[in-house]
Amino acid sequence: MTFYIKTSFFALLGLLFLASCNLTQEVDLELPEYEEQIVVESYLEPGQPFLLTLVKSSGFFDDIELDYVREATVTITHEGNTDTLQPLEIDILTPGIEAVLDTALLSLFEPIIGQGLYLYGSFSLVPEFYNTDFSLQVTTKDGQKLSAVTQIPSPIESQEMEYRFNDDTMALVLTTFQDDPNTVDYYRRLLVERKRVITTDSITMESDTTFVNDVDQDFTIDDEVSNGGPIVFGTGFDYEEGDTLISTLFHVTNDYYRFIATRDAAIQASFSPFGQPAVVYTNITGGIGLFTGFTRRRAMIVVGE
Amino acid sequence: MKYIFSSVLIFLLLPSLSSGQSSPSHTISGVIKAAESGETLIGASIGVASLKKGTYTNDYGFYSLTLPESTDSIEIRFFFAGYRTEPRTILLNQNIQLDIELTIASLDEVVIEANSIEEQLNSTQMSVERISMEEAKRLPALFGEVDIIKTLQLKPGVSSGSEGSSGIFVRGGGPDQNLVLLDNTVVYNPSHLFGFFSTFNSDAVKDVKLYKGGFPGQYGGRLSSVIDVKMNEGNKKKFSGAGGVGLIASRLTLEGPIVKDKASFMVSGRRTYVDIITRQINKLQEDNPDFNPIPDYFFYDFNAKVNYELSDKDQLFLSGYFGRDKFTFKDDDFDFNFNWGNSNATLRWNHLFSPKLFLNTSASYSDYEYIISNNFDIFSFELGSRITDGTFRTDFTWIPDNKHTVRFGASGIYHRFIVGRLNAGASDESFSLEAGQTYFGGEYGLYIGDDFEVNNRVKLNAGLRLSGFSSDSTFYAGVEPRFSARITLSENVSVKASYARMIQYLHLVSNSGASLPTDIWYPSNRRVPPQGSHQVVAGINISIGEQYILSNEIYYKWLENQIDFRDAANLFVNDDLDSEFVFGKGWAYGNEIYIEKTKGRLTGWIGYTLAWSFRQFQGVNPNGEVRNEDAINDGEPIFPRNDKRHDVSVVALYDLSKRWSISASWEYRSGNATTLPIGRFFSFGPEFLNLGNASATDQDANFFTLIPDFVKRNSFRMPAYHKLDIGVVFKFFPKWGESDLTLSVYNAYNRRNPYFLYIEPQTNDQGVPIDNVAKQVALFPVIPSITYNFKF
Repeated sequence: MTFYIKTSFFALLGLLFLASCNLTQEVDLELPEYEEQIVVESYLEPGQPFLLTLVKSSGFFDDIELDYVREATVTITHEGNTDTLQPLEIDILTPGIEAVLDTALLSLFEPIIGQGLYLYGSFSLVPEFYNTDFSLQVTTKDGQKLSAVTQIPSPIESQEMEYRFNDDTMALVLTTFQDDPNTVDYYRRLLVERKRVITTDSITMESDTTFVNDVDQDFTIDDEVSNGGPIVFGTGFDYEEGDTLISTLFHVTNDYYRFIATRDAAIQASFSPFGQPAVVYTNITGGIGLFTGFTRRRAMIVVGE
Repeated sequence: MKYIFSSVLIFLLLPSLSSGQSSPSHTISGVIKAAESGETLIGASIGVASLKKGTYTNDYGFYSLTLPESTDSIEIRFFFAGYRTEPRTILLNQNIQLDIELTIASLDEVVIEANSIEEQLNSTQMSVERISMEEAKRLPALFGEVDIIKTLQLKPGVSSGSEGSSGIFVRGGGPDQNLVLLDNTVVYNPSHLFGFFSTFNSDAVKDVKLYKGGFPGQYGGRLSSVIDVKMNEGNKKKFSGAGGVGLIASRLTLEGPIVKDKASFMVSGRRTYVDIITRQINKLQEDNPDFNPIPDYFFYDFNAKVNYELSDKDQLFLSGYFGRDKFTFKDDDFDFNFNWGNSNATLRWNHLFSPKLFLNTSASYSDYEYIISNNFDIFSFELGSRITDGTFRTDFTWIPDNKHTVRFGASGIYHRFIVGRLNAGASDESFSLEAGQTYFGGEYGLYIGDDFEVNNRVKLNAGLRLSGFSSDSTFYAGVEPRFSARITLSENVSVKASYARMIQYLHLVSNSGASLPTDIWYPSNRRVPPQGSHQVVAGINISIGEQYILSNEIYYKWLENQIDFRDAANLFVNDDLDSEFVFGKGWAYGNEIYIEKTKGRLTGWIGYTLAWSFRQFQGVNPNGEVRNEDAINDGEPIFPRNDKRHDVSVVALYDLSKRWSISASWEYRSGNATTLPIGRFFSFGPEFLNLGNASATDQDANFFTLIPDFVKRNSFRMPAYHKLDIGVVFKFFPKWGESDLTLSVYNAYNRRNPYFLYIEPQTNDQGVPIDNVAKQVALFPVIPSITYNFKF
């Protein structure tokens, strides 16, 4: 919805720009000194290891590079059990690391992250404790303390995908799931089209098939519009027979929902006159960032099958 | 409550007490009109020099002057700016009804005079700005489109939101705190195209008054200002017309008698035609695959009015306004429409009970809505909001003697609010969705006020407004005292002071940097209390010779229950909008100095405002709880976006000859408060590692985002805004009437005034951010335009 409104406003502004030229110019902004903060990020998903990043924020016009907070003590407590997360220094050039890291993607960010990642993690897995508290405690090497509490929402029961063709052999895809009428819920919808890419070596004439994922939809919603009824996500008639679509439905917390909403608002406001600047929401005491839990359920459909 | 009734009683008794002590007297009353058109003249002066008595016509051209009985003839002079003074000699031995028609002065005599010096010195009313249409039409304008709201922005204490905008911010108030009235009916969104043009077609407008403080009792419901616009009534003498062809729009007004001297009509229309040009461009580029079609946009508005004199004592008026902005974007599988606009209608009855008691009663309808609709494939959605009012009001003016003018009346408004109405669905009925809320509200007002001349030096205006609002099983009541006083220190100097309490029961839900048509009006309810303000003003008026008046006003305003929104609030489709609100307080103060030359070939003014405005939101939510996470800037005072420290305007109009006149206006405003990020941090997102379940299917989504850290709201200043506009008018005198060519040069020295600042990330070849660059965007460079205007 917001997209359409913004599109129209920008288009209207475009009309005004028709009458003008050279109206954009670079300016020097003198920003006050920025007090750097520790940024925590951790997403708990049952059955996955505990993982957490700890970095420092920086001044807006500082050089863009990651400044890790090293050697901190990180614990997560749940149902009386405490997991201590250990520092993990990962060299993305280490042979075999591709099994757990998308090194190709990370290599794009080499100017920022260098050749390594510094994380905190444990090899114990996040338990399937839904709607109970997980408490985070972080103490940095110089004694700074950060904390947060979150819960993991229970997974949605199921989602169903179906396709419908129009007269031009193009199909749309509908995804339906049932919202719980007894709770206020927040969801993230992610729709990915998996495209098959076949490349042929011009010398050997050997063909190689790879898959490329295109994210077609990625947004968060609350259950306000459905009031406990079924929620349906649609697409346009954008797909042909044989296309593979994967829908991932995340059941997320209010903290996650607000973090994403304010994050998007902050990004939007940095380049749009119609944006409302937002301070990015945090549930971290003593720092910024997000400590949250989620569950996800995935469904896949091949159009025409 | 006892206090209220006592106060009302005192007001009612005051005139009878004083009149009981005076000698036998008689009343002369009537209506003052323009001879050429029969239009009533608002604010025309009536003066008896020998007795040093005088008065002014009210908003309906009516006057009443009670004078001691006289055996000798006395001379009464009737005067209105730009018209020939009309002297009459009468013998006042009985009540006299005397309607006067004033003739426009010849070209040599024409003077442009917005407020008479005398009225400014003598009236208890302060903080009021009045502009004449003649004045507004001679000033240079953006794209040549005369705009009365932008003319008001040149007055001290009034500023625009951003470049080219016709939004108004008065004495530190918000954009929703202005009561905009067109023939007594509320115009909820008085602008076209983002606020770049106002809804008022200058050809259809007769009079505009802006109250910034010292509000008379008949006005209520907004905190910061009242913009009272009166439409032309229509020429009762002869058929006539006016119009213009401009760079982006054309307009035409026709008026004339239905029954000569008894009934008349006026119709006026305006339309932009940029869409006609853009359609041609699209057509020419049809075969160009790289060309993105330009969306269609146009606006139009239509004013109409008829009036009928039922008798010497009764007159009926029916007036209406209809305007729409239409934006359309279509391609093969996309059909997007965005329409918004106001509809207003008023039926008004004026009745003269006696020479001392005048009645104005009206029933009106007001509506504003926006609808966004889109159709693609089998899907469609429609989103809209709407506010509809039915209003009944009655106002009495009672002039028992020459020392008192008592105004009293009542009003009731029925509001209907449709907020965030969403209909979405598919034509194959595979899904459908409805959302939105409808609210109802009743707003009531009862007021009385007396303009009381204590003696030659002291004049008081004391009034009381009782207001109420019901919605959502909740009733709010308010007591709004109004007081102003004028003390004449000498023939040329008067000092004034005023106090006004205002209560506002409606709120504009707007979470954007600009004034947008999607801003939603929302009622007070159980969880959303009304806004309130107290304003005190002190001022001095000094006339310097016969041509200049200097005024200075200092004000302080306290604002209660100010509304802002939680960060990233969802204001479009939200059935629990209240939960997005945070409440706080505000205060504003400043000094406005103004010097105006009202007569002669050169007229104009210089205004300077030094002002501060603050808001403070400590995180109070609709349940009255304080939540630190919702506090804005940690609960510290912040500058609202439109806080401007210095505001200077210089306006000059000069008649070179009968044919040529020139005008210029120069504005300087300190930069708006704005919010900029001062830090940034990376968000890795939940998919940055493809460990286990976070498989490759999800990895591209939210990977490694660079997030700006805004930290504090409105803690920066935009660069200062200044520009010079120049206008030249050349008049023709054809046999059939008058016409002119008006040349406007907007932003003559091509100042790049910042409309907004934004951050442009610099990326490397792989699209990875490596740097940020700040840029500013200006909207309007130097823009010359020419308009042809005619009148017959």
